[in-house]
Amino acid sequence: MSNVEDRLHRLGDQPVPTVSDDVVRGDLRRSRSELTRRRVRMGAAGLSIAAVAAIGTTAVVADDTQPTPVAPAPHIAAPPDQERNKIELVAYEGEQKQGFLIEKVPEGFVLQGVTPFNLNVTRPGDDSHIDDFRNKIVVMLESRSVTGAPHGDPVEVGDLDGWLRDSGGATTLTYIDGEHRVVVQAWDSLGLTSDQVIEFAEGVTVTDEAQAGIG
Amino acid sequence: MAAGPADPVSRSCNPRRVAIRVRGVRQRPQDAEFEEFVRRRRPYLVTTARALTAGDHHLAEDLVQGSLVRLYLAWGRARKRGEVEAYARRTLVNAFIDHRRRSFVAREKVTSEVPEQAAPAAEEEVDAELLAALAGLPPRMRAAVVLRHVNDLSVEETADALGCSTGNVKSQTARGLAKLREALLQPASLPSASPEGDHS
Repeated sequence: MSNVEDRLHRLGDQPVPTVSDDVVRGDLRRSRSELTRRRVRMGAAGLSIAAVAAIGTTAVVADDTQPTPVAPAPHIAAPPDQERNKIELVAYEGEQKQGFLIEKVPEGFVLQGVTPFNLNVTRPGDDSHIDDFRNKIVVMLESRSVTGAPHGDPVEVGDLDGWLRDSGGATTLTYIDGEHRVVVQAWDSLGLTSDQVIEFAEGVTVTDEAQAGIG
Repeated sequence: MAAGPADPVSRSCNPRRVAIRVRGVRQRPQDAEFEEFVRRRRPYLVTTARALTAGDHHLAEDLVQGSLVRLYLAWGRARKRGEVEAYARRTLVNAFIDHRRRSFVAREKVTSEVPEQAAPAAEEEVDAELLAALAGLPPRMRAAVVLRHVNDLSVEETADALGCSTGNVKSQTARGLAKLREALLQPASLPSASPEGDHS
């Protein structure tokens, strides 16, 4: 071992203070406080998403000039935990469109559409509006109006840092791909586990055509 | 210092399994496990952080505190995957690299007062020359060197902590050691011992 390596090794032997009860108590207090803060924020985010979803539905009705009202998307309850993970992610082999590319989809699901602002994956036969995100996986860039740090439990999306949270009816994963802040939202009714949401996100590629929304 | 349970720092801290009750807060099931981990492995994290920050004890403590918070938030998942130790290490390294990215501009300011520095526990034992040389390495290279040669982690464990390939770890470590040797051969040209002195 060289002299430099010896000296580096000795750095690891430097004395450090023993861990007192006060230190442990401080670490626990900070951790629990942060957990509480995040839960409060998640609650607020859930309310915001619910409000956005309601506004989005209204917009769909307003934009659609059909004389008959648009039926709301069928409510599909989230499956119990033991029912989750029965859906497998499989390789996506269909058509791709610039903006967002995907490598995997839940088995039996289809690509509903891609715009510069979002990509939707849903069940076959879902003819709801592309901006209706219920019962779908949606990929988009974080709104330009969002300036704060991402929140949620820290996770790893491949080699990238991500944050996973329960956003009230959906699991929302935010991660930074080096250039964009990407959001993947999976509606609870799909039955995907958190790991599957992350696995799906690992197969997402954002192209130059993608644009972040505002608001 | 060895990374595993046999490391001397860990052996000396006599972990206790008595849960600490935070006043006015109901204990969560994971709290006792988290407390035990803090007692057992905090010294290791502090030692790692001090080497990463090239001897900045204040910053090292901040990084460790932040990393433990992140670990607590992800405790269930990390424990389920059997990688509490690895998760703590990754969050510490990420916190160090992120800190370097975020705060470089803010740190580079002129001040008329000498900033307060935490005194090392045993000043005479600190290899100031080596720490100054470490401070001259870019963050990821410094982290690779510290994890491999201060913590005695394997190439694979270091790659996991840095989120890169084993080949990258080998090249970063080799280049880092070469730079350290070069710096240590030229004591007159060493950068100051300030851990924030490098512009990488």
